[in-house]
Amino acid sequence: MTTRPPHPRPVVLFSFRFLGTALVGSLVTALVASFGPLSAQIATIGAFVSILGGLFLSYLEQEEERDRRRSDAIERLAVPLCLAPEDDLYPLYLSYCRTLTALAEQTDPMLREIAALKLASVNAQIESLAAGTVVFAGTETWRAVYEQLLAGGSVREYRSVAWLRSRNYWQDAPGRQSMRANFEAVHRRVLIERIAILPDADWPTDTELPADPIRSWLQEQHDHGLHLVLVRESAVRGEPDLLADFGIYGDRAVGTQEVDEHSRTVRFTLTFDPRVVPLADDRWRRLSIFGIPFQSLLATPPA
Amino acid sequence: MPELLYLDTARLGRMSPGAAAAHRDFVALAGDEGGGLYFDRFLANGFRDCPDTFPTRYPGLATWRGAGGLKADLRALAGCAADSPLLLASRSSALMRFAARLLFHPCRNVLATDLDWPPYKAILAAEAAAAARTLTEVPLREGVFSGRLTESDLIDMVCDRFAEAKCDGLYLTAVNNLGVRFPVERVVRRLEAAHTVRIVVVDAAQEFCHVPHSLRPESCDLYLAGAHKWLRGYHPLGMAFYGRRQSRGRVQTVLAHSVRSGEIDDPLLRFTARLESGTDEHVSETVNLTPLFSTNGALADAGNSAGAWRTRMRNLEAAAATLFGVGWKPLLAAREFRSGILLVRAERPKIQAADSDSLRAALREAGIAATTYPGGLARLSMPSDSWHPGELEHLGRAFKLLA
Repeated sequence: MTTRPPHPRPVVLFSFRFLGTALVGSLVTALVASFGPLSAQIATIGAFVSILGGLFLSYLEQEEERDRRRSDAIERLAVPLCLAPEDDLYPLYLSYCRTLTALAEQTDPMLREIAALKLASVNAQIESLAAGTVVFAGTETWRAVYEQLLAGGSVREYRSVAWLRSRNYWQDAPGRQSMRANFEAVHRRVLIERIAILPDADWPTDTELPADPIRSWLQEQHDHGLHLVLVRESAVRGEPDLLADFGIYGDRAVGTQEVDEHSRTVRFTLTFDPRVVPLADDRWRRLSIFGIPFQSLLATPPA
Repeated sequence: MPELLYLDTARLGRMSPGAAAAHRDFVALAGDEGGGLYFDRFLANGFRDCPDTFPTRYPGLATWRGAGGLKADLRALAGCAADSPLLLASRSSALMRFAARLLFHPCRNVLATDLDWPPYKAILAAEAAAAARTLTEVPLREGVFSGRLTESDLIDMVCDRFAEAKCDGLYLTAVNNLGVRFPVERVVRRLEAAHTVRIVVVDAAQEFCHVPHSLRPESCDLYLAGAHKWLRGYHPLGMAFYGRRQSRGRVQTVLAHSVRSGEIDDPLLRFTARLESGTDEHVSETVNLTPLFSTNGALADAGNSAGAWRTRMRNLEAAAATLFGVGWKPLLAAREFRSGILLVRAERPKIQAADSDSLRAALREAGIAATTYPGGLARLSMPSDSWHPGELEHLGRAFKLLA
């Protein structure tokens, strides 16, 4: 490959602007010197020097303005420059820019007001994502992410706490689908341990095993190789912070599920922040103290 | 004096007379009937639905009552409950791979010892690595053979290590290839009383039909054995007994998944697993059933194991005394660790340095079938009958010749 030699810079002395201006100025000065008195000559030279000084100061001011504009432009470019290598985010950024530019052309004040409100909400969500937290409110779509986490291969260990406030817990179609994802993960060598917090009504203190359908739900998990530990709700009533429904995905993320009285998801919060994992881990360990391994209950012969 | 003194039972038992008769008559039946209708009937129910001439033509197969009958007899021999399931496989390693999968499904850290059979340990280690879990090994061999460890010391050591390493699974060898008897039942009981032991797998390949009921298979989640060693069925047949209340469903579920996914590729295991689960999934691969018949034949020869055990221990002491003065040192562990396997080491450095295959060949030349190891080690499996006249002298002479 050949490179073209740099274009030679023209010599300023031969430029028309320089030569024309110098010739006109010299001619005027020569005429004044030939025909005018000394005072006129001095006044002419003074005028020329003043004009030159004014031009120089104007140039400096313009140069300062140009510098400021250049800095502003570079600063604006910094965001796209930082995002440019992010293949998943950069196209979205461009799309937002285009959309916002299009929105800026809309002039209806009502529309602009609504747009501002909605964009503020979107901004809040993006800020939450940037902090590592995803919130799914009033939807079961979180399960897709949940299953992806279990199937992805990077999570080798999943510890979950299931707080069963009703017998319908994870018994609907999305719940069963998630449970199948658990089974598949175990067979792909993901270690799954689950603490189930059970209402005393479904696991009275005078019975070895919980009542159906919870017992069958637990048995199926046990048979697939999950390690289960059961906790009576009454046992942890004194420590309300332990009554929760959460999962620890390796050392990567923590998910917290909030359900209504029918065990439908109200909110699922997934936090990808390594700092929250030890906190959840501590909660898990405290809860374990109150637990009985399900397998030890199975080992006991029926009375 | 016998031409060959066969003391290699721990490696591959010499085919028992009953197994040999069953094998011969199975070959004859296969030659006469092939895979025809009568063969199918015979396979399912024995001679019940076959022509009246069959029992006289194939007497070696007279005890065959179908796969169910074979399993019932094996269960009884192992001391299992009549309803406990049993898996049969043509390769023991297939069962071991399944055992490793079963262990590391719920376990974070499995405790094993250096007494385990190295190829099985390698399978366990590979599964631990694949699942990113831990395999903790307790060194016991040196302590056992030096006489430094008593049974109580060994149990303390294993249990302490289990607690210290926060283990939650157990893989133990009931009798190892060097003849060390491990107090499995006591260890399991003590650990289960103090900790949550998620899965217990016992390798009983050298224990089955050798040590009488040292462990109830109901005390562990999977009890691995073989019919080709001390039962003397000859044709390799791996067995896995299970049925503990807390793990029966788990074994069946994991097995069904492993068969479906093709992780288990042993045709006999797939065949018997299908029988066990009651599914009518079509098996496309033709299965070699010979080990089933030879094992069934060997069962007829499996005598009183308690009596055989006492005889073996007497034989061991007599053999140790014979070899002691002829240039070989018997490596006798404390009495509670001993089994019907005698390990002897050559005293002369030249023999110790010899290649183990050459040593084995030399022993065979001298009329002894035994297993040999590097370092001048020979392993002798004690017979279940008392030494016949001349046998001990033959043994002493043969080893003296090589000393």
